[in-house]
Amino acid sequence: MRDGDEMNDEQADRLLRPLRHEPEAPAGYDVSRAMAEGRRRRSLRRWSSGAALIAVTSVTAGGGTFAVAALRDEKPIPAPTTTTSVAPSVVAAAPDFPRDCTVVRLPTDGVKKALVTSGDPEGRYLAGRLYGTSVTTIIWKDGKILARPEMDGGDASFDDINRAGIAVGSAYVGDERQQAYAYADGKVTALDGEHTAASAINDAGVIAGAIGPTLSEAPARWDSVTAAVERLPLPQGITVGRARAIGEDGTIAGTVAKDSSKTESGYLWAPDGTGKAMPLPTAKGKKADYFWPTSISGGWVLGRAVFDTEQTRDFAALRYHLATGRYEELKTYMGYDMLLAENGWIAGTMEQPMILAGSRKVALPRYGRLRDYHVSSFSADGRVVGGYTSDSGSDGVGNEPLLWTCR
Amino acid sequence: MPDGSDSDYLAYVHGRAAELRRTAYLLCGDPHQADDFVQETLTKLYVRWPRIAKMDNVDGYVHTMLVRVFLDDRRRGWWKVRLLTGHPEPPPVEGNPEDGPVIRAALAKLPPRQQAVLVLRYLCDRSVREVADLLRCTEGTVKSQTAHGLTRLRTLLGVPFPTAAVSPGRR
Repeated sequence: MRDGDEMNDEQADRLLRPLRHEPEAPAGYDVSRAMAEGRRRRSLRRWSSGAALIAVTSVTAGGGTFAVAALRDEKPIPAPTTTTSVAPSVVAAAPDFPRDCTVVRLPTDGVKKALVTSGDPEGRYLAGRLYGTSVTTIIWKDGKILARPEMDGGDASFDDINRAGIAVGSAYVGDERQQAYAYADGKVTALDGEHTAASAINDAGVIAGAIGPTLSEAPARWDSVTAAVERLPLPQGITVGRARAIGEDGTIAGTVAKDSSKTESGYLWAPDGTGKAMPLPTAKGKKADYFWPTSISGGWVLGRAVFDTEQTRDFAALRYHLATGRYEELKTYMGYDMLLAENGWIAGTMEQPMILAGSRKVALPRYGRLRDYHVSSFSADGRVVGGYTSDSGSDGVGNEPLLWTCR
Repeated sequence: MPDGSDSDYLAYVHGRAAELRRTAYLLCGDPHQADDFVQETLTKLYVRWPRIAKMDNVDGYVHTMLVRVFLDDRRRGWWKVRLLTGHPEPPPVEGNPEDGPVIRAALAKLPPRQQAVLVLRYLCDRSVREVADLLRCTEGTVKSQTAHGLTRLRTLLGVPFPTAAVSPGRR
């Protein structure tokens, strides 16, 4: 096989040996972002295939044509900070909607790749992640860098921030153990409990999250940054779950399952801790297999109904009225990342970032020529949106952290 | 029992991501680019997870995805180099042929598939059979790509041709 002109394996080993290194810097990939982007691609596949036809038809039959127009997306790509929404000039008492929306890239101290992970209800604070730096977490206030607080551990992320600028999140420390952290008064402190992750904080400072090893977490709550962690009560036979969103009144929305081998579905805890399973909604003429809440605001829980078959997973967007226990199907599916404002508006991403205000769809301007967007924060008044881009370029996937502001 | 759920995906990724990142790093030599390759691979993996989770050899499939992400990326850049220089044979690399950066620069001038074959065989210690599986090609192709890759690498580095090659070789 080999002749005198060829190298043997030992010589080849020796030639290449100086390249045998382990990667040094802490890992910069982000599993939750891979899942989020993966979900978006899954849903885009459906929109562009047979299932999309059904979805578009039902949207049109439901009385709205906005989604169809949005899917065609024939508008030219606006430049950064270009106004996309135009206020009608002669409409008296027109329903309110976001106007004159503009976009800016958030500053990152020269870091090229960064994204927004969450924002506060007032739209003044945003939290985010940086890539390729030793400190990977960042807080912005009013569009400027406020702090780059260091969180101990890998995959560090602030997943929510409140009006007082208190951010909560988690990182993987040591041997793949999650630890919940809070950023308050200029410093990062670990929340009570080992194997913990914080997902959400309200303006009263109550924190919702999870406790337990990564695959057998149970829903948890902290009454404040310094409070002891408490497990949220679960019904008989239910062992895993996670609190995902918390309303200003302390109502918590999360997901639970019998055990970690099962798919989780929606569950609610009242401020006094009493819990109840969210009923499974019916949409597209079918009863959903699961409901996944994503956001809670103004007495409603926004989420996705999940329809599974052997090979596919389809979604419908619905909102659940806490007071009456009834679901309403949205006329438009706004993507996996949709978020709810107190006034009922919804921010999300379809072909581009959007705000759904009643039946009016307002497209948020693109940043330059970039095409892939995620929405990760939405203010209570529905006028400030945080998010980021994830277009693939010649040097891999890039992320630009963005702030949209509307009147 | 993998059922295609998110918790299965997380379990798999947390168990295997470090190995994926190591392979990505050895393929490209840059930790940030390695992270990008892993990020894209994990995203693609999640998109197909409900189906992939039921396969026998998830690891092999995922590493094939990673190598393809690397090849896709390299092919774009490599063709650019070829078009700009106008000829397929790049000039020799300057510097000590035992220095990591010099070897990495020479390796980057090889066609992407030859880069992948050499890295997988000699840095990731994969057998010819395993590399053939990962690249979805025959063992003969892996052997010929190995020979061509090493010959070009040696030429680029100015390393003398070996006089004695007596080795059973890894198969």
